[in-house]
Amino acid sequence: MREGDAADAPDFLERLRAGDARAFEELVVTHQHRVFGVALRMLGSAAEAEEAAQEAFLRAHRSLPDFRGEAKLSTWLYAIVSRLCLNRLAMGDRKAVRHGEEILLQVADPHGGPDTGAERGEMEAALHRAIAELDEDRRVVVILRDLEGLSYEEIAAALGIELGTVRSRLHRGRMDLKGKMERFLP
Amino acid sequence: MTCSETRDLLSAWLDQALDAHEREQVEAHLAGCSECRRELEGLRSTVAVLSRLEHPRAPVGFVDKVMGEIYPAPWYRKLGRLVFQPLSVKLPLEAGAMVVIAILGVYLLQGTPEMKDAARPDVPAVAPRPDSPPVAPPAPLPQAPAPSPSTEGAARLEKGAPPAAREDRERGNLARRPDQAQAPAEMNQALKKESTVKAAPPATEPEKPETPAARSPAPRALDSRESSRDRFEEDRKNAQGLAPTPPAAPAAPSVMSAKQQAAPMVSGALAVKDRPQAERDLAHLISKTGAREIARRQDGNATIVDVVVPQAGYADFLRELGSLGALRLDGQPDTTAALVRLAIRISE
Repeated sequence: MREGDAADAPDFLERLRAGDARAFEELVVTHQHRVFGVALRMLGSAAEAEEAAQEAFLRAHRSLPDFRGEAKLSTWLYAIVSRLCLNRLAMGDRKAVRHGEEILLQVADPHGGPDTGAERGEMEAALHRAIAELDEDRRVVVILRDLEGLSYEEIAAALGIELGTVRSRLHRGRMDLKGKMERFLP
Repeated sequence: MTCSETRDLLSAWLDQALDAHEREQVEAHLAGCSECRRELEGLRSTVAVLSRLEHPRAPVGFVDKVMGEIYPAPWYRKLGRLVFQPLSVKLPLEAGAMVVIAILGVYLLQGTPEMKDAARPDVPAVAPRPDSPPVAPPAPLPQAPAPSPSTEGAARLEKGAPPAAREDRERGNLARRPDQAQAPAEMNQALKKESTVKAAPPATEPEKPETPAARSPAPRALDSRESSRDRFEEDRKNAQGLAPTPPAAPAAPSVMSAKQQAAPMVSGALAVKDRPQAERDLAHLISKTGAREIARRQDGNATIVDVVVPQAGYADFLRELGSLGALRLDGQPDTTAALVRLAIRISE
C-alpha cells in the first residue's frame, strides 16, 4: 500500500473539501516526495520540479471541491502533476533540461558516499540518463508504473488515455530502457 | 502467436495485466522460444533495476512554501518566525552580527581623537627628574633626563610623536593659539580627566550667582576634547583675570568665585625681586617636583605660568614656591584629583 492511501479516509476528504488547512497540510506532507519525484524525473531540473510540484498542489487545492473521491488522492495528485509536466514539456519556451541526470543522481541518492559501489553508481547514472532520454509519453508511463507503482487502470485514468495505449507505451518504454541498459543487465 | 506479437505482450505478462486467453498464448510461445525467453529475462531485469531506484525527496521547506502560497501567514506570524528562528539559523547570524559590530566599534573608536590621544606614546613636554613619581595612572607623567622649557618640549614632541598623532594635532588645533598648540597631548588628557573629576565646585567655596561665562558642571563632565580645550583657554583667561594686580585686586575674589565654580583652579601671585631669575627657579622647581608647565605668557610686567602639579607633591611645590618670593594663593585644590592646576603670576 502506498503511503498516501491511508489518507483517503472519508472524514479526511471531508476536511479537505471543507477547506481545513491542517488537512491540506497533511496531504502535502504525505505526498510531497512522490509528487516532486515525478516532476523531477519528468523535467530533469530540481528547481523546475519544485516549481511544478508546488503548482500541482495549488491546482489540487483549487480543485478539491470538485474531487468526488472516485480515484485515490494519490492517483489524483499523480494525474495533476503528470499532466502539468507534460504541458510544460510541450511548451517550447521552457528551459529544457533533457540531460539533467546529474541532478537526478544527486537527489535520488543523497547518501551516496564512499560505500556506494562505483558499478552501482555507474548503472544508476546510466538508468537516469536512459529515463531522461525516453520519449515523454513513454517516460511518464514508465515512471508512474515502474517507479510509482500505479496500476494500468490508474495510469490510464490519470493521463486520460486508453488501457491499450498504457500497455504499449509502457512496453516500448521498457524496451528502450533495456536496450540502453543492456551492458548492465545479467 | 509470432515472436513479435508475443514480445509486445511481455511487459503486460510480467505485470499480470493480460487476460487469461492472452496469458495462455504468451506462455505457450515462451515454452518453445528461447529467444523470447531471453527477451523476457532482459525485460524482467530492467523492471527490477527500475524498481530499485531511490525516490527523490522534496527539498526542505517545500511544505511551508506550498502552505505559504495557499494560506498567507498574517503579519504577526511572520514576525514570530523572524524573531524565533531556529537556533541553527539564528546563532550563526547573531555571531556574525556581533563580529561586525565589534569590528565597526573598534574601527570607530580608533578613529576618534580621544582614542588617538590615548594610543599616543608618552613624550615629555617638560621632563621631570628621572626619579619623579608617577602622577596619574591613566596619564602617567613621562620621565626624561633633562628639564627644558615647555616650548622646547612641545617642539620635541612634535618631532618625536608618531605621524598620526602629529596629523591629528595639526588637524585638531587649527583654531588654537600657539601656546595651546604647544601643550602636550597627554597633558590635555590629564587635564580633561581632572576637569571631569573637578566638575563639582569646592565645598568650602561660597555660592555665587552664575555669570554668563560660567557653565553648569554636568555638561562639562561630558565635554569632548575640543570643549576641554575651550575650558583650558577659559581657565587661563580666568587666571589672567584673577591675577592679583594691585588695582584689580579688590575685584578679583568675586570674579574668581564665579569662574572657579565653573572651573576650579588655584591661582597664585608671586612677587619677586628678580623676575627672570624667579622664572628660572620656577622651571627648576617644576622639574624637581615632577610638575609640568603647560603654558606661559607675558602680561605686561608679569609672567603668568600655568602649571600642573601632582597632588602628592603639591605641598612641597608650594613650600618651595614660597621660598622664591612673596606668594599669595587664591583658591583651594580639589584633593580628589590627581593633578592640581596652578596659575602663577610672577611679578616684581
